[in-house]
Amino acid sequence: MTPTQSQPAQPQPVPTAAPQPLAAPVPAQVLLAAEIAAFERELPRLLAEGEEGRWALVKGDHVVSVWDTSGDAVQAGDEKFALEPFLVQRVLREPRIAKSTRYYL
Amino acid sequence: MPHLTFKTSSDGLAVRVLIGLRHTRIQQLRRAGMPIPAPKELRAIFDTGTDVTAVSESSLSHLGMQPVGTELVTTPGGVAIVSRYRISLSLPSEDRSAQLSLPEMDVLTMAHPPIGFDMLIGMDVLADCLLLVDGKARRFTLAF
Repeated sequence: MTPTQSQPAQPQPVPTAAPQPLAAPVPAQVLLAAEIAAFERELPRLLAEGEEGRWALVKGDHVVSVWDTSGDAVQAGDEKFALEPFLVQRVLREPRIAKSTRYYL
Repeated sequence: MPHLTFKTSSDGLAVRVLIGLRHTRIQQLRRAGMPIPAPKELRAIFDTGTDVTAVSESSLSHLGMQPVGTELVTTPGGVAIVSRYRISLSLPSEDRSAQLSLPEMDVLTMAHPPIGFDMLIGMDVLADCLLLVDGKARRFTLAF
């Protein structure tokens, strides 16, 4: 087959469409739905075991470990699960509600 | 004690900050040979009446971050669940000669950021600092 002679390349039009906006982050309630359900199921046990005030690291369907600070728990999650999502949630009998006297959050 | 001094504005204690991935996540991306998103500059305001630090959701988009938890917050419609992220925060001085750096800190997403701002810095950060407001000189100083 004889190769066809190609025409000199014509300059291509520069795309003028505006850049697409970046997708909004997936909310934790969606991304971590399985972990949140596991945490809520395990919360009474954690409270009964005296873990109130500490931070639970949860992956999939089970609580992996419990830590003194959220930073320690996130670091443990980073080390164990690398770039996969995981949940770090405080063990509290009554959930804390973040407040602002001046703004709505 | 290191300190940073800023001019106050009609908005209050407003500053420019940089948010980025948390330190451990940057190390992981480096090890994996993956690109590291550049920190994003935001306009932030200090508020002693807020007990958490919060950022607008749109501010987190380009960083490709994943939430690590949930928190309850007050909204115009009542109590709502929002995402909690762990990020890094840098607060440079106005002349960029010094900065306050927090390589790891928790922030919540904020559905209703103050007009003109993407970040609200609350008492969780200020609790570890000394904040001096000189109203007559229209300046404030943060020592840490």
